[in-house]
Amino acid sequence: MSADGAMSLSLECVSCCFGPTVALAPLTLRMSPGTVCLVTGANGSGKTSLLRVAAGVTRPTTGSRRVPGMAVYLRSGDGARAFQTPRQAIRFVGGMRDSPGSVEEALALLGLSDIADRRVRELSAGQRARVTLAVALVCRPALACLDEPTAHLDAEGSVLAGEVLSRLVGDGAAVLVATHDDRVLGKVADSRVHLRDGVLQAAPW
Amino acid sequence: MVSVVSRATRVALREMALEAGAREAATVVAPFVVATVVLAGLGLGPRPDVLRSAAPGVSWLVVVFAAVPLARSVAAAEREEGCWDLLRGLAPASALLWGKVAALWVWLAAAWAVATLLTAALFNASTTAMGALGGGLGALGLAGVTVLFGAIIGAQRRSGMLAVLLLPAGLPALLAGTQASTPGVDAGAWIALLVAYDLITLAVAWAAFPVLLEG
Repeated sequence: MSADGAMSLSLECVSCCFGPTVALAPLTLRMSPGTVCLVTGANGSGKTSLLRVAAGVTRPTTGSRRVPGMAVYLRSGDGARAFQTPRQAIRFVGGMRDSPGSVEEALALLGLSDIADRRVRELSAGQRARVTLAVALVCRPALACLDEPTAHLDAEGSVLAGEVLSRLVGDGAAVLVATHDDRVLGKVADSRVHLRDGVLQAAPW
Repeated sequence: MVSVVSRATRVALREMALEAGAREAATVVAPFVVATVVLAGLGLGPRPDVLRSAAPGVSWLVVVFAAVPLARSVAAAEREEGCWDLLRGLAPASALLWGKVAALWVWLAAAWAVATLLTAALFNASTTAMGALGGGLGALGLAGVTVLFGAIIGAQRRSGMLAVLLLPAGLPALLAGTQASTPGVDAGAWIALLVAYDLITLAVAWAAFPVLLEG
């Protein structure tokens, strides 16, 4: 919790079911501004459901969610249409968030300047993952929920993902990250939750 | 602070830029409009008076049917390409709604214009200023309905239901638009009906859209 008690994310007894399938058993999770929380767990353990509920793109079956500001959910490769260029996609986000000045900086940071005017459909999966990170950066959200942000990234890209997380945190965002690869992202994480079959486990931190 | 109008404009411009790059509406709708008008002409037979009297109805039928593939641009295409969740977080519901409506209004009005020009050329039909006004008004209401059902179908991922929902909802545009652009018909009442259709569809879309955007 921050000094003034404000939370960037507050999930109270939240659960998520799809028909008879319990994707997420009731859980409580709170995040302060400027913190990173890693979400780990096996495939199908509920990581994506947790992130989607936290971001507000999936309605929880029970419980309440509170985010004082904009929340965004981004899966690796999301954030740009196939016929957009990275520059168009990121410029749109920058315009919507009233931060057009950060577009070129984000492109440069993620090593996208040289391919900024190519169609996204012509990019590799790793390059698209970098576009997603640039989108997250320009969004300047109160809460960023990043689903496998290092998927498809090479070693240099993974380091850049850590840099993006650090910058988001520096801007005061809370960052919830689902990942199987915590070697790099673990260095910038403040906390970690582990899910097993939709149930929050004690974090092995 | 970026206003709703500014954000809606950005959403609409994004739609235009996407169309300029992908030409999805043009490649899907333009051949459909041409083929339907030509086939309708062949089906109606060679009598010029029959073709002339059927021309406004054919144009509007084409526009209403063209709304079905265009509805995919509202949410389904965004979801498939990993942008729907971002848009929902990024834009207020009203900005997303008006931006999408504006873009669809342009496509549907363009479809009506192309169909009307084709019927003018092939059926020797003519349209009036009130007919053109009806084209703009009918396309606006139809755009509102298309965004509404496009969001519903996009959320439910049941695209097969789209035509079932959209075509009856486009009936007022079809009826009033046809009458408003028929020479010799007093268009005033039909234009008033189109204005009412626009107000109702846009009000319903405005009220329902935020709910549809929730998870």
